[in-house]
Amino acid sequence: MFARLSLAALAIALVSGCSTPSPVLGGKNISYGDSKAVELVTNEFGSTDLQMIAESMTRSLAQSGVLHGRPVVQVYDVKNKTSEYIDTREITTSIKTQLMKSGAARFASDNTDMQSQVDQLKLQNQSGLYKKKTVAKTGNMIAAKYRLEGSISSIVKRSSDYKDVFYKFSLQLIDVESGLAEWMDEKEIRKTTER
Amino acid sequence: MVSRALTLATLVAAVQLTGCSVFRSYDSELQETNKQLAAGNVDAALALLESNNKGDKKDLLYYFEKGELLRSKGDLKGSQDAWRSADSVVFQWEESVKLDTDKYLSQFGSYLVNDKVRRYEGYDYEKVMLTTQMALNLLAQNDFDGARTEIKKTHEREAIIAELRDKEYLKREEEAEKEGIKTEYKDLQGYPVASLDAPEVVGLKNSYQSAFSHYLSGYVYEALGEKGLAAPGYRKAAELRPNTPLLDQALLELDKNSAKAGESDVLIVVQTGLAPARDSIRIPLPLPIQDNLVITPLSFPIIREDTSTAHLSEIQLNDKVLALTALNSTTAMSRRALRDDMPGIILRTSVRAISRGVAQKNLNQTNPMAGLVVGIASTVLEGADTRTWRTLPNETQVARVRLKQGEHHVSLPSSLGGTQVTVKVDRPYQVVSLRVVGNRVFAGGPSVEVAPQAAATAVASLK
Amino acid sequence: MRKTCLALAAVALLAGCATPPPAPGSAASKVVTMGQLDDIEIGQMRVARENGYLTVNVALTNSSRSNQTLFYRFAWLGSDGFPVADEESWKALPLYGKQAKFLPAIAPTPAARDFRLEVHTR
Repeated sequence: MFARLSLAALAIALVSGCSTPSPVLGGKNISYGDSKAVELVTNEFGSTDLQMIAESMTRSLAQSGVLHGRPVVQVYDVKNKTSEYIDTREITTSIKTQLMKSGAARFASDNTDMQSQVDQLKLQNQSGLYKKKTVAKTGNMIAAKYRLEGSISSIVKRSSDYKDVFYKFSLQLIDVESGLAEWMDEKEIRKTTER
Repeated sequence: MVSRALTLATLVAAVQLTGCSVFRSYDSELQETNKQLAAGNVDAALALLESNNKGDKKDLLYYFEKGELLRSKGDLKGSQDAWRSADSVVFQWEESVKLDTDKYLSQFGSYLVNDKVRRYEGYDYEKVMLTTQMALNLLAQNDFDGARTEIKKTHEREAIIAELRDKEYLKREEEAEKEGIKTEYKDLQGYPVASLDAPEVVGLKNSYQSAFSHYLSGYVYEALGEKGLAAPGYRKAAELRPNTPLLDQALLELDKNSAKAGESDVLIVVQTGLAPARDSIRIPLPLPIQDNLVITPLSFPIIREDTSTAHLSEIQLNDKVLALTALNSTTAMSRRALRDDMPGIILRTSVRAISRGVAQKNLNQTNPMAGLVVGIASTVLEGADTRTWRTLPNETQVARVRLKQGEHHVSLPSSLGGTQVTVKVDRPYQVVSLRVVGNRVFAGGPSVEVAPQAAATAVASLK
Repeated sequence: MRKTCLALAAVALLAGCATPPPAPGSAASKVVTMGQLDDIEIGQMRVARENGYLTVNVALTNSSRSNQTLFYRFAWLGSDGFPVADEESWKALPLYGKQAKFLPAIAPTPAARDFRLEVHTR
């Protein structure tokens, strides 16, 4: 009698154990990972490289003291001199975001945003659709004091049991008026695969 | 008793296999289809394809061919749908390879079954060309963002293939050593070795990387203003086809800002001919069966080039001659794929023949009747795998020009029918793609119009 | 019996000695070891403020003869002891056998007053 009761109790406990509310649906082999983890899946340019480059470049630029009083900076695309499809715009976007967050600089519309910016200004001023008071006036866009440009290059060597990739990322800040480079830094990354 | 069981098993196996693709001659099926296409009867070609694939479960090849036929017909949406299905098959393959490379490689090296009873997975170059053709479909509709997705998929897939093949070739060398088979394709008496050793075949870096595919990706990224991604596209293309002025020029022009108002950067893509066929050839090879060298006829695949379409080196643009630059040859890629696969094919075919020889000898000693059955079943089963994507264009050639926006006229040389095509240029970047089979020109999309061509000639043997 | 007693006392003493709570503000109090940290000693730290940004330099020594890879990242804290920036990405630092190295770092914003160094091997 006792045994039967305890068995029933156990069964109830088991069932209720299964129905514990959990925020996870399905997913035996699938899980979310740490987006900041060191990625070593292949030795091509990866997420960690992008994060490392953006981080070390921003810190170095912000701390250098060149950017007094949140100057306006125009960011150019990073030139890709490798033969790997690296989305260099993602590197510049990360750099921009981090500089913006640290409050070190402000950014002028870059090449890609410029068209949308001009279109919007034209629309506001020429369509006659908007309330006069709210229309953004033309001729008030702020020009950049500095421009930021850079490049990434790579050297790849492989033998039957080694593959070595060397990346060099360099970035410079140039004063638009004087044309002088005010700050420069580079980051080197070496990745080796052994078979 | 044992031998009787074996006989039964063999019979059952033989009967079951007849149901699948063993007896299907892909080559002759597609010869008919392509004949219709070259004559301009795209609908008849499509009907033929459908009648040859009546089953519910369509394979990768069906979607490959269907997409290309619909594209020729000008039904870009239908074509894209068919290729989307093919793409999902390739995607599954890709996932299985990524998750467990070793398992994939070991099943690939299985000696027991003939290559042609395996599920068709597509050759590497076909996988790369699939997404490239899909990008062309989208570009014909001026959808550059959509094309960017396909192009990104193309080079990500290429990277997976590269890694897989690296591992596979290493493993195969080890296995050939273990089995003690040293035959190379150069040792095959009567095999057309020269076709595999031609300079355009040996000159390729591998069978799957296409200069055209990378050039197109450079162009699409440039059109979208992403120079950081356009540069590696052009650079990779130039690495794959060194000393091509068009490719070097693209890289130089990338940093210049030479666009003039009212002018368009137009890429003309001319794809001609059809992919080569795979055929089977029988070559006797001495094999060690129970310590005796036995001369055994074995089947090996050979590549047969398509002759439907004459080679084209220039077109007329507004009555001026425009030279084309060849960036892709499916025949060369297909030969290269076979050249790279040949050691594996020789290894598998020989090992299979040896084990069969041993079994048959043992059976003959105990039960001659059963031995006969095994013999028959194995002749049925032998024969090289002749499946391959046949409607895929053979040659891809391009020309890049700056044109004033408005209407322009492109025409083909009179040797190929001299068909006129009217092109409406209205975008800063625009891709015009023409497909030539026989002396027919096919093109789709809102900005291209092909002048009426001679009525499609009826081809006999239409069911 | 007396021996056991003595031994027990010794053990208790040693255990106490082995983990004295790091003095607040000392170098050790800034280090968070995640999982395991084998054969790498974290030495002195130099903390300064340059152009308004907190900068740190950490001395590291590989005490084993074999090469090691240290995985690390910094967490930057404000005056209230809470983080002032997003989580940093993990980074890998290779160290040769017996090598001593300095690990420099710069805070992402001038608001950072303090930091933690998270470390991990393998």
